[in-house]
Amino acid sequence: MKLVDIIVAESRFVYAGLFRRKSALATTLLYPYVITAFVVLVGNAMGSAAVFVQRVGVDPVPFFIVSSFILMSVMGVVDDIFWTPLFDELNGTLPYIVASPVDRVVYFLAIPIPRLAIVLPIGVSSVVPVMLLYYGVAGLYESLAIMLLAALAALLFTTLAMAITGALYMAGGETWRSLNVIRPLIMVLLGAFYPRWLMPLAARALSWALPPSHVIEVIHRVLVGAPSATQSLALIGVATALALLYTPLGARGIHGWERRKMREGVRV
Amino acid sequence: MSAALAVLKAYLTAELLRNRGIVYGLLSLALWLALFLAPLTLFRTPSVSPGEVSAHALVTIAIFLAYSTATWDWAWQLRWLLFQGILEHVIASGRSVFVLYAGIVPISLMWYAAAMAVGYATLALLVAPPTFSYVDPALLALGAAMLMAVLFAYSMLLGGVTISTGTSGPIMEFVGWILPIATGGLVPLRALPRPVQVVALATPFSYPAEVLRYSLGLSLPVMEPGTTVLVGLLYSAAFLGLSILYFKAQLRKLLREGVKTAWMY
Repeated sequence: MKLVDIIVAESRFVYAGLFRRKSALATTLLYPYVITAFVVLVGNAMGSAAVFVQRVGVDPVPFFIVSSFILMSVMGVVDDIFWTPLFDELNGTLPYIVASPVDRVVYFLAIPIPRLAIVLPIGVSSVVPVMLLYYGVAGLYESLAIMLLAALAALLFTTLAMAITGALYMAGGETWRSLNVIRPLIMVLLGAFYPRWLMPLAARALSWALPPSHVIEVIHRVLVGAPSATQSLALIGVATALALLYTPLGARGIHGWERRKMREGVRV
Repeated sequence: MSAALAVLKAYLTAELLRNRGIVYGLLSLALWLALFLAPLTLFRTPSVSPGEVSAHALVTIAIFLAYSTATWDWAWQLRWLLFQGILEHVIASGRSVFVLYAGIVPISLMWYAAAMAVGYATLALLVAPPTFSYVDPALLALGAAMLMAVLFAYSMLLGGVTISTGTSGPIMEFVGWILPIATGGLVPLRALPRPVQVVALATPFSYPAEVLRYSLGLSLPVMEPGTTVLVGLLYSAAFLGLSILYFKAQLRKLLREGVKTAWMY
């Protein structure tokens, strides 16, 4: 099967699930508002929005709506790379997946592509109205740039997510519990909720290893109104180079997991 | 009693010891807390001490974790029993479903205590150890009891809806977020706009949070403190009684109409 065929098949599966489960879709669209309300209300109860503006350079409402949008987009696009093997194992469909003639690496590379579509409704329902309200028409252009950059950040995460998935599933055992530790750790280090330039050096160094964190820094610089074209391109370049660098690791991880399943069998 | 002890032993073995669930669960919790608490430090004014910020955050964590326990330990348990085909066996055995809770609640409380310790440690590392200038232990205990009653009632309502409609996980997750925000669980009610205060006070959820914060000297309730305690006590007791009646009605409906299905998460 070609990559295009896998993307078409995966798209049918994703869109059928997305539109069938309307309650899940509705909550996904509402989450950016809920998270923003949580952080801004609690933050204001403990301190002041003016101090936040002084420290970060942007009002907390647009900052956190964009941060929550980034979180939901990255999770919406890439999360299934982490969960697919476990989901198929629990459903009893993994033996068919492993026995199918589809190249597993190509299959995993195809997973995020149809899911990119989720970025659009989340962005249109959260980032666009808030940015329009705060910055007028200029906010609309910024929203579009932010949505494109968030989609890019999610895509550039694919190969590292494959490497992590392969390594975790090869290690075996408590995989869903391990995933529940790895996912928030990655979210912290991505710097979506805490600008990377304010992080302590050790956290910043770890964050540099994650391709999407560079794109997220570009988004934050767009928000604070200090995007230098050279710096933005350099950050996107570093993110792309890192994503490419992780490709062999990702492929090796997925093949390793597949070989292990072939050797040991699938528990159903 | 023997059934409750058997459930307690089964959960202890399966959840805490065999799967090392508590270690992973607490690590995960600390990281999610770090994700959402770290940006709160960016709001701190120089006049507010870091310890005070931590104290507010710790109460927010305590209430949020209580809602999580009610949602994911107590209400979700019913959905899990339903989907694993165990609920039918419990009903057929002739024992009350509440026997299971006699086994689950102690595990939940252990979990809760461990999670609070992790929350405290995360705050101490990220901001500063929480400092409370004033504590009224009797009122604190009363607030905690009211919170437990209200949340058990809430889990019975959520569980009742789940077994009768097959409501999916995202809805429960969302309700678990929006309810504490909208009813003053996460922020003192005084800090919220007047219309939100009115709506929050119309629900039983706002009173335990108001009493807890007042007992720790963190904020004054919107209503007079004595009235808040009295209304809160009566409201939480009535809410608990009504929700148990509702849950039993849903169980009877389940027996009449059969089991609903939903997506796996």
